[in-house]
Amino acid sequence: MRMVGLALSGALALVAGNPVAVADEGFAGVRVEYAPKRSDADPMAVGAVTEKRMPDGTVVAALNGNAMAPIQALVRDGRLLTSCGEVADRFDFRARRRSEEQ
Amino acid sequence: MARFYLLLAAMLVATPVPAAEMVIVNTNAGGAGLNDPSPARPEAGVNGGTTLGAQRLRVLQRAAEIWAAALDSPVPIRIEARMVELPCSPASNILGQGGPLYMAWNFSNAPRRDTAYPIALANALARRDLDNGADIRIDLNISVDNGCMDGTVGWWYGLDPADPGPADRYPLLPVVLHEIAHGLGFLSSVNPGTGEYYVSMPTLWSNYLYDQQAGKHWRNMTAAERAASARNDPYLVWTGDNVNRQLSNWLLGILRLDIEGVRGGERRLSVATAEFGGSIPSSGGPAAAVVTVNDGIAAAGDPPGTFTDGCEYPFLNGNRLQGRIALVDRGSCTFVEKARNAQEQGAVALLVANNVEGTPPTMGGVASDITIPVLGITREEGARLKRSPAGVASAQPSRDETLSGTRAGCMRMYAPASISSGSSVTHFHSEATPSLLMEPGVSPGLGDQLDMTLDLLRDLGWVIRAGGPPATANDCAQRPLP
Repeated sequence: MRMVGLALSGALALVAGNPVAVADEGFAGVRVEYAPKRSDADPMAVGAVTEKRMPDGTVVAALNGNAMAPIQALVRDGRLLTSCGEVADRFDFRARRRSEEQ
Repeated sequence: MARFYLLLAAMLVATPVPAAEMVIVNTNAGGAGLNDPSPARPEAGVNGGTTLGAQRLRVLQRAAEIWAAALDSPVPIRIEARMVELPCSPASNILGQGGPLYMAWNFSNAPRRDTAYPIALANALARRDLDNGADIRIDLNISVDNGCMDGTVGWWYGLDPADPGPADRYPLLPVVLHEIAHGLGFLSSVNPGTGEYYVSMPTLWSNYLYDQQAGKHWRNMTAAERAASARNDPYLVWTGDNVNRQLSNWLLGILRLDIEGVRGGERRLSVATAEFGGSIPSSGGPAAAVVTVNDGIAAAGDPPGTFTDGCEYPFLNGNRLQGRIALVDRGSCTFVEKARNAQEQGAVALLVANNVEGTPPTMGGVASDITIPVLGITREEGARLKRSPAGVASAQPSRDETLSGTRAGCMRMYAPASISSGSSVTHFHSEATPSLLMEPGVSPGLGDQLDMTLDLLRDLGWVIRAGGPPATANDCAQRPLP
C-alpha cells in the first residue's frame, strides 16, 4: 500500500507539472545514486574559481572548494561546542565567554 | 469506478507530496563511509539501517526528504555526499562541510541581471540544469566515528528529531540540514576578510546584506567597505522581506531583569541565560525577593570559593529561599550544581553574579532536572543587590519588546569583531533566541526544524512550499533593495 501511495503522490506532482522522484526506501522525493570518486582526493583542497560562458550568455562558475562552510567542533572545559566556520577563542559572542566549569 | 476515484483522491490528499527531487550522489567507494558494511549500531531502532553505511545514508536521505518537502524545483537538486577523513584532533575537529559547487548568472529567467546565484537556485529559476552535474557538496567527517574527538565516541544516527541521542554522540541530522541550507544558497560567497566576491560578479546575497551604520547594502559597497562591514556588529542586518516579516513569529524578546529596592532606584539590567533550566516566556518570569545564598563554606582553591557561591548544600539560610530568587557568586563549582542546590532549597530562579568584571557570565551545561530559570548578571550588579537589606530587593525577569538577534526591525547577521572565515556574514546572529538552524553554532537540540531558514531562501527566490504563520510587516521589510 505504501508503494501505491508513493506512486500516486508522484502522479499528482506530474499533473501539477513538477517532475518528482519516486521515493527511495521510504524517503519521499529522494533518490540515491552511486558514483565513487578517487579516495585520495583531498576534501580540504581549494582551487581557483573557473568561469565558463555559454552561447546564450549564461555564465557558470565552478567554485572548486571556495565557499565551503565547515562545521567545526571544539571540546573546551569538558563540553562540546560547535561552530559553522572557524573555531578559535573568538568562537562566537556567547561561547567565548561560556564555560560549564567556572 | 467513482469509489476508486474517491479512494484515489483521499490517498493523494493524505500522502505528503515532495515538490523537489533531491538526489544524493554517494561518492564513497565500496565498503567505505556511506557504504560501510559493518553491522548497524544500536540506534537501528530509530533509524532502520541494517549496516553502518546504511544508517549514515539514511540520515542524509531523511535530511534530503525534509528539504524536498519544503522546496519547489522543476530541476532535481543533486547533492554529492560522502563520509571522509577530515581534520580532527582531540581538541578540535571539523564535523563536516558543505556548500554549492557552482554559481551562475545571466541565465534565462534570472530575476536579476549580473547577479551570481547559487547553482541549485539558478537551475530552479531557469527550469533547466545549467551545470549538468552535482549542485551541492557535503563532506562528513568519518573520523568522528573513530573517536578522534574527546568527549564524543561517534555520530548519532537517530532520525527522531526529539531524540538527539546520548551525550557522547553528536547528532548528524541537524548538521546535514544545516549544510544543505548552505548548499541551497544560505551563504555570502564573499571572503569576509577581504570583502571580495569569490566569483567575478556580485552575489545575490549582497543585495540583502545591509549595514545600518554605513547606510548601504553590500551590493553598493567596495570590497574594503564590505570587509569592514563584516565586523560591524550589531549593524549588519538582512533586509529580505520574508525573513523580517517573520521575526515576531520565531524570536523572543531580549531578556531583561527588572529590579527594585536597590540603591539608585528601579533598574533594568541586561542578563545572560544559561543553556539549561527553565525558560522565560514573553509574559515574563517569576517576580520575587532576592536572597543572597550563604552556604557556610569558602572552599580552598585558586581562586578560593566564597560563602555565597552556592556550592555547598544545604545552604545555611536555605529556609529563606522558598519562593525567592537566589543570588550566588560565580566560581568553585559548575553552574548546574549551583542551580540544583538553589532549586532543592525552593528558589524560583537563580541569579549568578560574575566574579570578574565585564559582561554577565553565559552559562553552559546540560541538566534536564533543572526547571528554574538561571540568569547571569555582572559582578557590579551582584554587589549592588547584596548591599540591599535582606528581603527588600526584588527582581523579575522579563522580555524586552526588541526581539533577540534583531536591530531596528531587521534580522541581524553574524558579524563578530574578529572575522571567522566560513562563519561571519553567512549565518543568522548567534544572539537569536530560541536557537535557529542557521546560527554559527549548530545546536544538537534543533531536531529537524528549518525555521526562518525557509524565509531567507524565499527572499533569495526559492519557491517554498512550507507555509509559515501570518507575516507581520515592519520597518525593515519596507527598506528598498538595490
